[in-house]
Amino acid sequence: MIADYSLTTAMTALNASTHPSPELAALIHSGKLWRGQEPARVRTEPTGHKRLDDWLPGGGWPKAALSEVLHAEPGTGELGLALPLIAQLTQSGQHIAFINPPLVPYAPGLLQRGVALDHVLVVQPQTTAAQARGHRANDRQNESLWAAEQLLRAGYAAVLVWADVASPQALRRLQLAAEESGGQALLFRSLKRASEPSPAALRMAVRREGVLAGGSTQVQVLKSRGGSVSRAISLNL
Amino acid sequence: MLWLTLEFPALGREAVTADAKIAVIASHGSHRWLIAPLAVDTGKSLAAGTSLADARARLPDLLLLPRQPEAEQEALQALAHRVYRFGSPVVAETIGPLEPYAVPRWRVSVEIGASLSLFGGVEPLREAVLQALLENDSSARHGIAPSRSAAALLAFVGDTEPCLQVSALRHRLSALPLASLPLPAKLLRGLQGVGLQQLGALFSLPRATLLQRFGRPLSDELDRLLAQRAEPFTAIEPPPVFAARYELHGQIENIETLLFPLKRMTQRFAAYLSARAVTCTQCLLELHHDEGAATRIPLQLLSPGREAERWFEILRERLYRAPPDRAVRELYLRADDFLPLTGSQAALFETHRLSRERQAMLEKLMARYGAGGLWQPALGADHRPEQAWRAGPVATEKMLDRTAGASPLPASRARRPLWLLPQPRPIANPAPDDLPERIETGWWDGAPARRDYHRVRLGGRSAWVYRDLDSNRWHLQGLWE
Repeated sequence: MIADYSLTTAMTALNASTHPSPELAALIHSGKLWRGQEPARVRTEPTGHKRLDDWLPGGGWPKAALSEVLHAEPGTGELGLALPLIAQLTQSGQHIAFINPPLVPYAPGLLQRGVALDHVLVVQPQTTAAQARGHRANDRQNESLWAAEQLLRAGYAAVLVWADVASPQALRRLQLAAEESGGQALLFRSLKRASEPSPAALRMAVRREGVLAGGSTQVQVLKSRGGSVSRAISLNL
Repeated sequence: MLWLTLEFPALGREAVTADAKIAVIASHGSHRWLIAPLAVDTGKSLAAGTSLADARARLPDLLLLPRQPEAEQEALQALAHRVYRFGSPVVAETIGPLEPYAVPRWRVSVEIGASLSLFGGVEPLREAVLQALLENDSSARHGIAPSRSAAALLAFVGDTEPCLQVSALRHRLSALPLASLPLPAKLLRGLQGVGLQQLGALFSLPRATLLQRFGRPLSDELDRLLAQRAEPFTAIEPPPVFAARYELHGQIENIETLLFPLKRMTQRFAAYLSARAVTCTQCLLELHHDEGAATRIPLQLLSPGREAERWFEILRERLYRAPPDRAVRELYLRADDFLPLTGSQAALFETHRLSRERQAMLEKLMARYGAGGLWQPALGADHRPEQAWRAGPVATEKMLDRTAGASPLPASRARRPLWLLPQPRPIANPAPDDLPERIETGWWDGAPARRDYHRVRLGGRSAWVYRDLDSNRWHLQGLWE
């Protein structure tokens, strides 16, 4: 009853005036509450791809949140999507980490694209003999999510995690760690996960299109906090 | 001289187990007795010296462990290391047991007369010593007096009021009961039999009579108490390498059970480092089993560490992550590579709290995944793509500061992809439509490479492929995005 009452009051207050009370204004400003008729204020970090930023609600990667990038297989353009962010963060002296990457993040390539290598950490959680005995196939993925959480809480500005199998609880914990630390968690998973529920603030699917070298990357938004976009756009990464 | 003596009434048990409800037993012939107080459920305890038969009568299910003099010595040494910075010399002694049912006394004494001014007097110094001992789990009593025997006696009876003058000794000790002296029971009964109950009565007896009736040892002991006779001692110095050993009761598979001895060992390690005023970045934990080779676990910190908690944290992490595959019988912790402690390190820690947290977390991850599980992408000085990168060690904050601004190695001008395959993979002939980048190198070291690199579409991906000019075969080596 009390909840209903306060909700009603809040709605009345919202409807009664275009100038909400200070409490409401604070909520709206913080991004925790938004009015349906206007786009939400989501704190974001530009992706560095101009067309993508213009198109995304909020204008970039949501800050202090979990974002998901779904892709078919390693090297489909998923790293290119995140690269300007990594470059910008490391250039400004912040630390980022690759956790359980499927291939070797190639130092010469990263450097050419403006990444400050001494601010990049690669973590490869190993499955120990003891765990192998326990037949827990997704241990490494759980380890990866755990390590991501630790790194965020220790002040890493962004973590890029590859963990295809992830329990909803583990994802929520990661989202919470990002929220509390103010860092960004970028989770890379396969397209097959598109139908699974996720607490991520932004979910994007990337696909390659065109058959020629230098073809573009198609980005589709599956979910975004603070507004929805239905179409997909093509980017030249 | 002015001695601060610490007496550790429960050390015989603390050196062996943390559980105060386990009876630690000394034996002589058929005699078996408690050498440390034994906690009884009701909050009371059985005094040390109680015979095992009596203890069993009270507690039929009593758990027993034999006394381990070696472990006691090690624990005592570690406690001695803790007080090393408060004065010199430091003396560690175990007295007795002289006979069945007698209780050994474990003491560490430090001469503080010369360091009083440094610490600003007896009180601040005493506070600092007690503070240093708090980190340890040992219960201690202390006394301060001009002779080691007197300081020990004051500690034994729990009189913490310092006695600073030799001339005041006799007065201070007079009221103490004879039984507080570590005397053989027969001698004590003899003294009590002639009506002597307190030390004062002994002091006032003519010395010649005392010598004649009760012998030289007692007379000498009285002289030592009153600081009228030299007290020989062997000062302890920290050894050049650190080694701590812990023998477990039986074979242990459960990691929780290993944590107690590990905590102890890291505390000893920290005390040792503090005593020598050094720090350290690596140590070695050895788990010994009943059969087969010992499990060796090297541990590494990113920056020099002295705190017990930091070492304990990574040891625990490592053990949970990679538990030993067999039951453990003995633990060894060793370190032999030390760094001098510099003022700047302490300052660095104070000012970089966040980076310190980050470092602690990285150490935890390294302990968990092994040193190879964490690395930083770095350039390799070679044109062969597979050698143009390397997995560099994780840099500490200090290293970062030093390398900031240093120019990286000259990299290839040609574009490079973001992903590299761990091993090039043979592929079917693609149809590249770009000009090749030729890499021809490595003829001097037995791994020559003559290749033409192209960027091609491969499935849905943009791939970095090459044709081996010798075999004319195509390989996939990288992916662009």
